[in-house]
Amino acid sequence: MADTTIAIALMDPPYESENLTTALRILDVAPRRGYNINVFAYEGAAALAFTRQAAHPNPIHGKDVAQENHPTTKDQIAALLAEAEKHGGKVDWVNCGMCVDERGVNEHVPGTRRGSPADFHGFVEASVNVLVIPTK
Amino acid sequence: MTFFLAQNGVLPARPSAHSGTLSALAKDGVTVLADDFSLQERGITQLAEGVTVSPIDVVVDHLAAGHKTLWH
Repeated sequence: MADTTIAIALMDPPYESENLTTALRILDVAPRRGYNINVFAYEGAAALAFTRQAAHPNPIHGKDVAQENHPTTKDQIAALLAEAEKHGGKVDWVNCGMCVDERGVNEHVPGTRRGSPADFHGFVEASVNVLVIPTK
Repeated sequence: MTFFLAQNGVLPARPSAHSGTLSALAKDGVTVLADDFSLQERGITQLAEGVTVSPIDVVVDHLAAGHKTLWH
């Protein structure tokens, strides 16, 4: 199935919209099937792979960092890359360059890269299908 | 055509005043699916006639098959 390539464009920033939960669930399925995935992280989504995200405690509930077990999108992306590699698929995760510059989030998870909307055009050309998940 | 309800989109899948439209779609031959995770999050266990619980894998199935897929 490694010849099947799907492209997804994300625009929502981390920790705000349920759209990302759904998107990451979709992205969780595809690599387990060995599909190649092209992801264009645009606008707020360019911060998803920002490596300086930090898990935090929850003092209101009396939980430390380990007990809170707060998921970070950077770790979810790293897990996605690892899962794809395990099943023989590839993930080309592109963080929009201007978007990361605007937000100061240009330190990204290894295995993801900086790019531009031209990469998204290439993804559309190279993929069997494209799902665009816009902000509302 | 497949209509996949996710997130708050599953709310009208409950038997309610708004669910008749979904049931009518199903009667007209549209496959109407409701995301299992979204249903579970919202404690929805009863679905309107014609609506079926589905894993999100179905979305990937359609993407991989090259079906036109729109997020609304």
